[in-house]
Order: sequence, then C-alpha cells, then structure tokens
Amino acid sequence: MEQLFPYILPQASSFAQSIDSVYWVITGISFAFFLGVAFFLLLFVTRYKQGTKVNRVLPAHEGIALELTWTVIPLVIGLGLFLYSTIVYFQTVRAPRDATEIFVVGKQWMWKIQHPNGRWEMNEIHIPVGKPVKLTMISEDVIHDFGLPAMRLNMDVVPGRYTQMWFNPTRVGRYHLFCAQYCGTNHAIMGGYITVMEPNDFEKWMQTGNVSASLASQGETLFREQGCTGCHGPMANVRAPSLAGIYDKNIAVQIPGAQPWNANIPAQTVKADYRYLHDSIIVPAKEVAAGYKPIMPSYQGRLTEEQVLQLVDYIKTLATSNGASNGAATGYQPYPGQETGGNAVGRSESGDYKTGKEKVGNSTGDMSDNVDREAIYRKPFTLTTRGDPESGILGTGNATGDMSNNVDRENIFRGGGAVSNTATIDRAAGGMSAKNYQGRGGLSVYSTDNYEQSSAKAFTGGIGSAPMKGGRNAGSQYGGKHVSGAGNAGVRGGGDAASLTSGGATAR
Amino acid sequence: MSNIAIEPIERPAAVEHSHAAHGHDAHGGGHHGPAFLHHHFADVAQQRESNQLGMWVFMVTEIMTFGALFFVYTLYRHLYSVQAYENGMLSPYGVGSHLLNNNLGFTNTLVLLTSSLTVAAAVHYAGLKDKKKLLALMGVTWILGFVFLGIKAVEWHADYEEGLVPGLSWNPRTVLAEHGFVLATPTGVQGEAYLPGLNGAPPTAVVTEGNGEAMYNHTLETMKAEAAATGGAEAGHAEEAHHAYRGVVNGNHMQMFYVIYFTMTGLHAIHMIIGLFLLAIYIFHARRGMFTNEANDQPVEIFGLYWHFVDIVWVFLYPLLYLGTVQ
Amino acid sequence: MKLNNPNEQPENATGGSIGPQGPMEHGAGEAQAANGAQVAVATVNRGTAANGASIYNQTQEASDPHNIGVPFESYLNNDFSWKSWIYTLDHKRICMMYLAFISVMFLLGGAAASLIRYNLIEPQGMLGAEAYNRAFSAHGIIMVFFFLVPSIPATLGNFLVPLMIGAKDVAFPKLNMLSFYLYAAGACLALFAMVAGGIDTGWTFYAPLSSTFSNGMVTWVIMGVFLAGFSSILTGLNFIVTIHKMRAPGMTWFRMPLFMWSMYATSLIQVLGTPVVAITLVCIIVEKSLGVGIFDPKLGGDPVLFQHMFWFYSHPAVYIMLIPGMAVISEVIACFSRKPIYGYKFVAFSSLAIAIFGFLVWGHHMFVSSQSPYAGMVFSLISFLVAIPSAVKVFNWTATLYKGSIRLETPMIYALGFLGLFAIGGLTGLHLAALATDVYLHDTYFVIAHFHYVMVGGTLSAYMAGLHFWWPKMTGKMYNETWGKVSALILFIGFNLTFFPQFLLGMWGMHRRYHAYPPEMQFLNIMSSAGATVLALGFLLPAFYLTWSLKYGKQAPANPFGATGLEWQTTSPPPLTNFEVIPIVTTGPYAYDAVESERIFEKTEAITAEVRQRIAAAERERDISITVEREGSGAHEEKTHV
Repeated sequence: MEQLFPYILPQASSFAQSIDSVYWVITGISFAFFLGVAFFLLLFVTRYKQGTKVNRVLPAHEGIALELTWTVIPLVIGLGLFLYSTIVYFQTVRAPRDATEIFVVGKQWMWKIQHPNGRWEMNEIHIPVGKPVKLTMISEDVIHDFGLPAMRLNMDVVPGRYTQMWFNPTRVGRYHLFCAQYCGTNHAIMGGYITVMEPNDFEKWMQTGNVSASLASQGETLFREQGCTGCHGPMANVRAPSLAGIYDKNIAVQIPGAQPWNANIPAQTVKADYRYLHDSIIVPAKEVAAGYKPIMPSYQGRLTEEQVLQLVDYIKTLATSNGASNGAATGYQPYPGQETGGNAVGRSESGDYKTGKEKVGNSTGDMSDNVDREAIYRKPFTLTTRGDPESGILGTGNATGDMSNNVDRENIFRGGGAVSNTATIDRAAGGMSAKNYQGRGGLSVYSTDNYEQSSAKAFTGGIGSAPMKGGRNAGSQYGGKHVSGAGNAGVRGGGDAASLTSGGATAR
Repeated sequence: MSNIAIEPIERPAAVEHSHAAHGHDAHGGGHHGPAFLHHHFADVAQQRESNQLGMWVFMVTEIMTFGALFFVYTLYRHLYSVQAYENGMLSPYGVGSHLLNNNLGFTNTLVLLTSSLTVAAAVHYAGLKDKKKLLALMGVTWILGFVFLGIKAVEWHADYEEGLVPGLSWNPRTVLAEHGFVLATPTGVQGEAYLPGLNGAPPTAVVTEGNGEAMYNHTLETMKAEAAATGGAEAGHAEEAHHAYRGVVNGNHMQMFYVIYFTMTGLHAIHMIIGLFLLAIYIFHARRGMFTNEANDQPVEIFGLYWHFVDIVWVFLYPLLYLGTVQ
Repeated sequence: MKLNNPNEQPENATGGSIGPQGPMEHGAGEAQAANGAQVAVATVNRGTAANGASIYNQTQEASDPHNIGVPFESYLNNDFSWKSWIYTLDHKRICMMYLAFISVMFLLGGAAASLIRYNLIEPQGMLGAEAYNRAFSAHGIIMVFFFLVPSIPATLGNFLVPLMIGAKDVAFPKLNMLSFYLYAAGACLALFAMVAGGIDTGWTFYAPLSSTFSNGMVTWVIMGVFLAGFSSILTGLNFIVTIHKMRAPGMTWFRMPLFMWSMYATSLIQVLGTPVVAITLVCIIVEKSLGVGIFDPKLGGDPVLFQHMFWFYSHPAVYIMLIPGMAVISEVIACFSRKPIYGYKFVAFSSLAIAIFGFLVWGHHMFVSSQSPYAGMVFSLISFLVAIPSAVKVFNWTATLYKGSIRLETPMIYALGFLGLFAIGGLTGLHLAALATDVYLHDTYFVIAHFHYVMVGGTLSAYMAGLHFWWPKMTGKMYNETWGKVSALILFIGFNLTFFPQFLLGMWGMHRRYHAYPPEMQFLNIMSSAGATVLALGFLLPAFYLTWSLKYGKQAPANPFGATGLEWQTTSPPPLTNFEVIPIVTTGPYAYDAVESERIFEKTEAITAEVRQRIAAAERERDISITVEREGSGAHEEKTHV
C-alpha cells in the first residue's frame, strides 16, 4: 500500500490541524447522518418489502413533532458547524504583525516569488520553518489561485487587486504548489513547490541565488532616479514631508474618501505601513499628509509593483527601527489599469486556432520592457512539441551577466538555457542553477524527489512525453517518462522568441 | 385470469363540484367558445388570465435582464466616482452624460411617454370595439415608436462620428477637447493628455503626469505657451478656451460608461424594434377587425403591457444616462 | 374509478377517484364480455390505486384495446408525417423531440467525459493540454447547459405538467415549440463551435480568461448557451402560467402532485435567474468582440463582478437541475411504497425554500475570490441553511417507506440509488459551505466529486427513475424489467467507483481541470477511470433496451405501476388532447394504501399461483396434443424429404 498511497497529505502549517479537525468533524457528523439514513432506508426496504408479513397499519396522523425534530436538529448542528468553521477560518484571514511579507506575481503560467531582501524565485518558494509568512499576491493576466494543499490554503490571485494569505509553516519539507483556478492551456503545470527549511538552511539559501541587490538598495537607486529626492530629500526646496523614520508611525492625513465631495476634510490618523506608502506613491491624492498640499504626482504605471516594493523597503531603512513590514492591505483595491512590470499585454491577439495562423510576437530580441515577452506562453506548450533530447541542444539565452533590472532573467525559465549569472548559485540547495534548468521549458514539473536531490535530477527535463533512457528514477517527472524541453523554447531560447510566438500575443 | 373481486376502497372523498378559481362550469372537449379561443383552454376567462399572467412573468424576466445591467452601471459608477475624486479628476459618468445630447434624449422621453398614452387609449378603444379609433391610435403609437428609434439612430450616428462608440470608433479626444475636458489615457493618471487644437487643428498630445490637478495645470501651461508662441490673436482665443476648461477625465472609465450606455440603449432599442414589429402585425389584424368584431381585445392589452414596460425602462435609463453631472 | 363527467356529480370516489373515462374502460368492458375471468381484471383495474402492479403486466393486456384490435388514437399515431412532428405544438411530441435531442447531447457530453477519464490515466496526460482543456470544457458546457438544465423540466416536465393537472396542453404551446427550437439551435451552434475550434474556458467562462485570453471559439459557444438560456426562460414561464391557470377543476394547490410543486419552484428559478446570466454572457461577447473591458481590470473592469453575476444564476441553476430530480423521486417513492408521501406540505414547501435560499448563496463559490471575508461568512451561513430543506426531503422520503408495501421495480431502484448518492452529495456539500474547509478544498477534486454526486448521482439517477417510470406512459411500450434492474445496479456501482476516489484525490490536493498531475495520484485516477467504464455501461444499457422496447416492447397498459395521478388515468400513450373529458379532482395526489395493497398482493399471489397451475395443466394437455401432431407431421416431412 505504501507504493499505492505514498503520499499522506502532511499538515505543514499552524492551522492545518484546526482545518483538518473541522474537516473531520463535518465528515464525522455527515457520516453519522448518512449511516442513519442508509440504515433506515435498508431497514424499511427489507422489512416492508411487498409480501412480508408485518403490521402496516399507520398511526392516525402525521407527526408534526417528527417533522420539527428533523428540521430543528440539523439546523442546530448546521449552525454549530458554521460557527466552528467560521471561527477557524478567521484565524487564517488576518496575518500577525511579525509575518514576513513575500510578494507573489502570477502570470500564465508561472509564479514569480520575491523575498524581502531581493531574492527571487520562479515556481518555487522557500521559507523558514516556524516563522509566519504573509503572501501578497497579484496577477498580471487572468485569475490564478495560489494553492497550497499542505498548508490547507487556497487564495485567488486576481489581476488588478491584491490578495493575501498567510500561514506559519510548522513542518520542514517540500510540498506541492498548485494553481487552483483554471487559467488557460497550461494551468495544470503552473505549479511548483513550497520548501519549508530549517532556519539555518534557509539563511544559507538566502545568501545564494538570484539576489541582484537587496530590495532596499534597489529602492535607493530608484529613489534617486525617479526624482523623489527632489522633494523628499534633505536638500529639497519643495515642501514635502520628510520620510525619515516615518515607517510604522502614526501620521495625520487628510482622507477625502471619508467624506467625499467635501472641501473641509478633517485630518485622520493612519499608520504609515506598507499599504499607506504604496498608496502614497500610486494614488497620492487619496491620503495626503496633513498640512501638505496634494502636489505629489502619481507613479501609477511608471513603477512596477516590484519597484514600489523596493521603494517602500528603502523608506523602511530610513526608519530607525522595526523593519518588519506590516501591511494590512486586505481588500485593498488599488486601481484599474494596473500594469506590473513592463509587459504591455493589453490583450492577447491570439492566433487563429482553427486555421493555425500564427501571430508573430516579439521578433526583435529587444530586452526592454516594451516587449511582450510572455508571448511565448500564450503559445500552448503541448506535450507534442518537444525539444531534442538526443542532441541536447541548448539555448544560449542571456549570457551577459548583467545584474541590472533590464535583464530578462526569467529567460532561463522559458528555456533560455545556460545563464552565466547563475554561476554562484548553491546547487545543492535546490536553487536556480543553470545546469538544472537546461532545456527546461520554464514550467514547473512534478517530482517526488525531495529538495536535496532536486538540483541534480528533477529539472533536467521539461514538459514532454518522449521516453528517454532514464526511466522512472532519472530526473523525470510524470512517473518515469522522461520529458524534454517544453516547447522549442528549450532549444532556441534567449531573446529569439520570434520563432516561438505562434498563437502568441502582441501588445495592442 | 383471476377471479378476485376488489371492493372499492372507502375513502373520505372531499367532493368539490367546481373549481372556484375558474369561476365557470363549462368544461369539455368541445370547442364551444369563440373562434379566438385556443383549443387547450376551457374558456375565454382562462385564456385571458393565462395570457395576462404570462406577460407579467415575462416582464419579471425582463426586469432581471435590465436589472443586471443596472447593477453593472451602479457598481462602476460608485467605484469610478470614488476613484476620480481621489485622483482629483472628473466623474467619468458625468462627463459621459455631458457629451450625450440631452435635447434629443429629452425629446425621446417625451415621444415615448406620448406613445404610452396612445397605446393606453388604444387598449381602451379596443375594449369599446371602436375599430376606427383603435386603428388610428395604434398607427400613432407605431409612428411615435419609429420616431423614437429614428432619433436614437441620429444620436448614435453622432456618437459614432464623434468617436464615442467603444470598439468601433473610440477616439473621444476631439469631442472632449471641444467640451473643455482633458482626456487622460491609457492608465488614467499618467500618460498622455490631449489638448484641443487651436483653430480647428487636430488635438495635440501632451505628455503629462500626476493627479488630475497637476495634469490639468500642466496642460493649461502648455496651451498658454503654445498660444503665446503662435501670436496675439490666437493667444486671446486660447485664453478663452482655457477658461472653458473643466478638468481631466479617465479615458478607460469613460469608455466603460459608453459601453454600458450602448449596451443598455441597444437592448432597449431591440425591445422597441420587436414592439414595432408586433404592433405592425396587430395593426394588420386590427384592420381586419380581429380585435373589435369579437370580444378579443386582449392582444391589444397584452401589447400595451409590453409597450408600457419598454417605456418604463426608458424612464429609468434617461435620467441615469443623460442627466449625470460633471462634478 | 368513475367516469367523472363534468355535468354529473361524481357518485362515489374509489381508488384514485380522479380521472376521466378513457378508452381503456371501453376496452375493459369488451374484455368483460369476452371472458368471465376478465371481469375481475377490470375490477382490479378500477382499484388502481391500492393495487400491486405485478399482475397488471399479465392481466391488463387483455383489457388493452390494442390487443383486441380496437385502434385508438394517441398523440404518437394520429399523424405520421414528418411535418406533423416539425410543426407540432403538442407538449407530448415536443417532449419526445426534447428527449431525443437531449439524449444525443448526453451521449456527446459523455463522450467528452470519457476523453477526460482517458486522459487522466497517465500522470502526464494522454491527450495534451489543448485537447484536454477542450474536452472538459465541452463536457461541462454540454452537460450543464444542454443536458442537465433542460433534462427533467423539458422532457418529463413538458410531458407531465399538463397531464398531471388535467390540462390539455401547456398554456402557450407556441412558446413551447419556440423553446424547443431555440434549444436545438443553441445546441447546434455550440456543438458546431466545439467541433470547429473548440473552447477551452471551462463551462464557467471566467473573465478575463474567456473574454481576453482564450483562443477558442468562445463567442459562438456563448451564443449557443444564450439561446439555450432563452429556451429555459420560456419553458419556465410556460410552466408557471400553466400551473397557475390551467389546473383542472378541483385541482387545488395542495392536491397537486409534488412533481408539480417542484416544477413550479424550478420555473421560478429559470425565470428569475437565467436573464442575469444571459446578460452576463452578452457582456462577455461584447467585451471579446469589441475589445472593451467590462470585466478586464486593465480597462477599468472588475473580473470578480463577472463571478458574482455568473454564480447569481449558476448556483440557482444547480437547483434547476436538482429540484426536478427531487420531484421525480417523490412520485416514484410514493408509488412503489404504496404510501402517500410523508409530510406532503413539508416536501412541497422545502422545494420553494430551496429555490428561494438558492438565490442567496452564490458567494460560496467565491470564498477565495478576494471577496470580503465577512461576505463569505454570510454566504456560508445561508449555505448551511439551504442544506436544511434538502435534509427534510430526504427524511420525509425515508419516512414514506415506513410501513409501506415496497416493490423494488426499476424506477424504485433508481430512486433508492438517488437517496444514497444524493445524501452523500448533499453531506459533502457541508464541507464546501464551511469556510475553513472550503479554503482548503476549493477547486479540488473534492468539489468535482461533490457536485457529481449531486448532479449525476442525484439528478441523473432521478432522471433515469422518471424515464423508466413514465416510459410506458410516454411511448406506450414496456421495457424489459430485468435489464432495467441490472442497469440501475450497474449505474449505482459504476458511479461510486468513479467518483468516490475523487473525494480522496481532492483531499490530497489534486485540483480540477488538470491535464497532468503528480504521479502519486495516479492510482486513484486509474480507479476513477476504471469506474467510469462501468458507469458508461450503466448509461449505454438503458439506451439500448429502451430503444429496443420502442419496437419490440410489450404494449403498455394505461397504468402499469398502479399509480395514482391524473396522467395514469388516460391511455398509454395519451390521446392528442390528453383526456377525453376534462377530469374533476376530488382528492389529494397520493391515494395509496399499503395495507390494501398487501391484501390485494396476497390474493393475487394466490390466484396467480392457481392460474399458473391451471395453465400448466392446460398446457400439458395441449403439449401432449401438439407433440402428437408434430410427431405426425415430422414423420410426414421426413417421408417427403426422403
């Protein structure tokens, strides 16, 4: 049976246990009801089958009492279950103050996860055990859903608004991450792993990998580049509030939304948390610091969400202490027209499925933000388009080693092949080694390997079904069938996305 | 095969001789009613009640149909107004309303209300079996309905020309500029704003940023500078134009207003066309005396219900769509 | 049963005490004249309501006009031209056309389902993402919009609503015809689109995936669904007016069979809910074809608004599918346990309660959609409340069996299967109504299993029960009882094999609409696929033997199951105008008596045994003579041959 049921769903978060107990309580009560109904059903059917010699004379009247009994008892039980489950649910709603905030961006069909120190990963999320984590999530295209069965959690990732989930991982291990909301062709393989590590291992892991610069230092650059210093800097001659030490302080603001269309706006106090700072950059007129004029321009559309995050982190460092981010952005609905990153994906001008005509996407090799780089994702990665496992041709990808933000670093995930700037990655930690991702189509794979082994094995293939020598054990997913590059991306890769964009999109 | 004899089972038989709800006792398979009585109805009263109830139920579904659109309208109106206020911009619904031709809308309302009156009178005279007046009133109703659609078509055509039809001719820069609004696009707060061209020139794009106020000021400054550069006479004209400036509006949000506007008025117009089609058939029947020779005036009454319903929908549409204020 | 001529006062009400004079009375009369033994048969026939049915199959043949060569006109044989079918306004013929069309749609939806199960045999998928996504979308769209929603209302409902209340037709026969043709046009349009380009959005059409990102033929499929929705509205409207205004004299609201209450509740949902989804789908079409952003956040729209509007219809739509199933079960259980439904009013009002509460729970599909947790709390509470009327129904059905005289014929086996499967489906709904567990199980196979238990185990079992129950009435032919029982059992077993593993899959985190899945889940998926083959057999068997019965089946008597209800008081199949004389109703719908039924059963058993004995004796004599003859002729043949 171990062979057949190798996978007992572990309880990996602090409230997995309470959710499971809700589950089993409901199951138990349901089972009791079911048994009761089934018992009486079978009893009556056998006892009162036509031809059996039993007393069939009915009592004189139908029992209202009986009807009320079986209406009220389920009602009471139902209300009890409702209360119980709702109480448990509300524990999962509000994150504790000290939760580490991790930023998640979903797009067809991959997850990008960014840690506070600038470490980013794709389709993988590494977290330390025992430390609450808050995920702030947004989608760039359709609705996705960040599904973590081991944590007993799902949360939709919606374009145009932030959603949040939090949990406290309690068990070291490597668990599935799924996209739970149907999001298009490769919905099934838009997933990956969540790896819960010992704090020491996590620290080690954190030091390695795709850290271009810390969020704060990137934010400092931005702060300069975007001209924030012109008003908020120490030498500024424009009257604007100083940002030093502002983070997590209560400040007085004017909130026009509280009393719309009223000129006499009383000052209110808000906490200058992540939510506030974010809004002040994107929608500055919403809550203007008391005593200042609403002259701050909005940076909506000019800064990506990641850049805003970097700025806010920089502002945090200006604060004297308490660097933990504590944004209560629940229900925060920023604005329409939200564009994260430079992906000008208005809508996909997809190829004609019927005739097979292809729209040509980005053929310029342009690495700037104007390129619709996800175009290749809209080409369905069917399992039949596979790379060449025999010759092992790899893409060249971006080998410049440029650490700046202009580099399409995700290129490797699209099968860009060897990327020189990953040379420093600790492969043993399951990180992003170039080798590991050779020929991989950039989509997640399912593997039963645990994370220690994954670097060497799990990722050598992409999505596909061509059998290879390896057999079940050799770094394959999908039960023994080896797979090679998902789509030709693995072979050609790099900025040469043009040949791959059939059915892809151009920005409108 | 069996020689069993079954005794009838005693059962308290609550005998009811006739059904009170129907209030008639003539049943049977025979067709002893008038010619317009359908064979599956027992009598005229049943047929009348059924038709009437059917129409009312149909109107319930129609209310749900339009209700869904009213819901969309309300939701976005609320969202956008709040956002516009926070960004120091103008309400997109208000600007959208402002650009619609209120005169035509008001005329249409009058036309439709009058047609409701005539159709009510038609129902009345159908009951009195006055064929001449019935025909005249139905004819007037038809003409009024047609006039409504004609005015609507004129409006839509003007909207098309002005670039206000989302998806088909969406390019509202000129008309907005003419009315003294600055269009912000595409993401609302930053990006290009469009200035009115001087002396009939096409609008020019000004790259601007900030919230509505900053955008507005920037645009104003740019215009002044432009006017100053081109010379005195035009500068005066430009100065005049500046005074007409009202503010900045979010293009995407205003587009949503027009999507809703065209969906709702389009759906309403489809109902009008169906109504006119039915009415034409009924006029044809009425000429042959179908509603006045026998006591079969009910189709006119049912049609009247439908027409009133379409009318009432417009009574809600008109203020919601046309009478918004820019502030 | 007495002839209830409206001009006469009914003298005594026996048995069903409702119903007109049908041709069968006439036939029975002739039979009386023909044979002394048949006199009693005719009497039995009059004692319809209390009698066991087993003898009817043997005895009523003699009383059936067909068997004695008296032609009688039914809606099926009054005109054989194809035009008479195309232009028919008769609700029974429209029912038959619906039935044929819906069966084809079910077959296609089932074919798509088998593709799904085939694909999931291997963890990496057998078909690939594109084909799989198109398969499950086709399965969902066909099954929901073109099979389940119209299944019971448009077939059984269309046939039975006028019959059960003693009307000649529905209130608006032309609308009824229009409804069918709209449905057919919509189905053809959607099918065409699915064949020509396919659609890969799933049946939920979530924006902005469907409106902006999908590259399938979304617009055409949505147009098809829109037309089917229109058809559904018209059917609902028709039924509401029919039930309000067309009831026969004496048919008060509380004398209506529970089937009618359920159809009324269903019609309410159809009329109130469908327009909303129709306009929502129109919005998707507008957004997709004009490139405007009603639900696209990049253009100022709100994608979650689509979900609200979609589920505002689509959750009540679940009850459009389910309540008619409950309707059938009420009729079948009462008939085969020979007892009036326990707690008639509770069952009747629970249908309405479900219909009304059903409009207030749509948000439980959206617990994780970024709606406010407090909204989720309210929706969760009401979702728990909506479970109560369903539970009340199950308890009442179970109580109906108490002290009944239960006959396990085919419809009853399907109905008992319904009770078990629906109980599981309903109870697992609690997990999904509860916030904490729904956050865990959202969009997993647990959800899939849950609603298949309700929709397939519930509605489809009920549909099969109803189809078998009224098949003799609709077609005038008896199906093979043995095959019926066997396939009911196969269906029950196959269903559980298919869908029970999916509960476990869901708990392990297998999410829906996955063409590929982690290999450790393969075993359960294979189990499910294997069960699906059994399930498919359970559906194919009835298709064969029911079709077979059309040509070769025995002629059905007017009331083969000894049921009450007006529809059984007319011939099988009914005449064009349903009743020769409009019946007058004097009692409630379920005039069954288990004690009486038992008494008759015992007597019949005894008599049958005696008759069998006599026949055996007679046959023995005849056999002897035949054998003698044969021997003689055989000898003669041999001689000539040689």
